[in-house]
Amino acid sequence: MTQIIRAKPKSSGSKLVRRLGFGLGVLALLGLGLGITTMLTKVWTSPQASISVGGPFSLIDENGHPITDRDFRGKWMLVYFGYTHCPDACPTALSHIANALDQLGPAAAAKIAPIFITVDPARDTPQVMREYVAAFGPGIRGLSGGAAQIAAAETQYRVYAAKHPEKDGGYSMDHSSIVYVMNPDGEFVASFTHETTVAAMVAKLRALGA
Amino acid sequence: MKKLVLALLCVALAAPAWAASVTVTGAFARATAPGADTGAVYLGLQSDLPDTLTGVASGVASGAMLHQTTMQGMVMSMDMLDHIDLPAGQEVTLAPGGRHIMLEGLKQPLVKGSHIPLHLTFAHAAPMDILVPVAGLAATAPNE
Repeated sequence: MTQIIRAKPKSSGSKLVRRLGFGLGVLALLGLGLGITTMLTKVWTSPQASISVGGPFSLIDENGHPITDRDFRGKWMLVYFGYTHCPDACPTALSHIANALDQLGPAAAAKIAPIFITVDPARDTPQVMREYVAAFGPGIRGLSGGAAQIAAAETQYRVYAAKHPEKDGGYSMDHSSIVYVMNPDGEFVASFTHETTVAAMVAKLRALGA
Repeated sequence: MKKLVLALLCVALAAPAWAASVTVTGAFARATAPGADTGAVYLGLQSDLPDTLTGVASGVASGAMLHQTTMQGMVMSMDMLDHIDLPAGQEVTLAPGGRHIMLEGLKQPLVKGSHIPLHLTFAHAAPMDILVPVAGLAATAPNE
């Protein structure tokens, strides 16, 4: 009998300890999660990050005229690097941008410059870029340039791009697939990936005041 | 669509009874911008016996190949595939962001609402000619 009486408080005590331990574990995980989320949010959205992504570029626009980042000051820029011989991933990214601008409405869209910069200037001449971007909607700029100009822009945006030879003698381009959001001062404020939905892009751009 | 059904029917009737038969579902191509040199076709394939998709061709392009888009971190890359395995009775899907049929050297832009011919060859099943509807520029389904 005494054994049973002793056993009871002992077992409920250890249960309590286990529950406390579990509770603390959950709290710790939550705290860790929050910490990581805050860190990531800071990295991806803080103005300080503008030091590391984006910067001056000097390229050729879809009409064959020189164009620089300064020509876009006062407008938000959505910058995406890709190439026109990319039938699978790039059209998805460009149509997400076009759809997001549609949903934001004409007033907001007028403040935003969507910019498609080629990583394949050898094939994507200004004329190719003009026809390509026009198909995705009005207002999307298609920038090309000399190999050195493109390489410099890639460096500014920390874009990885490399020729990927195909067995048939042709090539595709491996490239970073990221939409960079730059504020009207030309500073990096956010980025979208292939996993970002149009709704999430719209919400983020509204939250930023674009 | 009628033409597609007819084409599939013809293939089904022409194939010997003992041969593997492959069913194509939900095929579509993406429209292309004027001047674009490449296009993509997506589809679902199901074979009743183990088979392999070994080749693709289309009259609207000088070349066609099996391709796979992969994302490594934020870097997108495309690789050519020699073939695509079709396990018996299992639907194999080629969808945006993954495997696709890449058309190269387009002789004309792919216009939404039109159809393009596609020739598929298999290790066992008889070759198949189908008509693929062209959907929107960034379509993820035939009706987009």
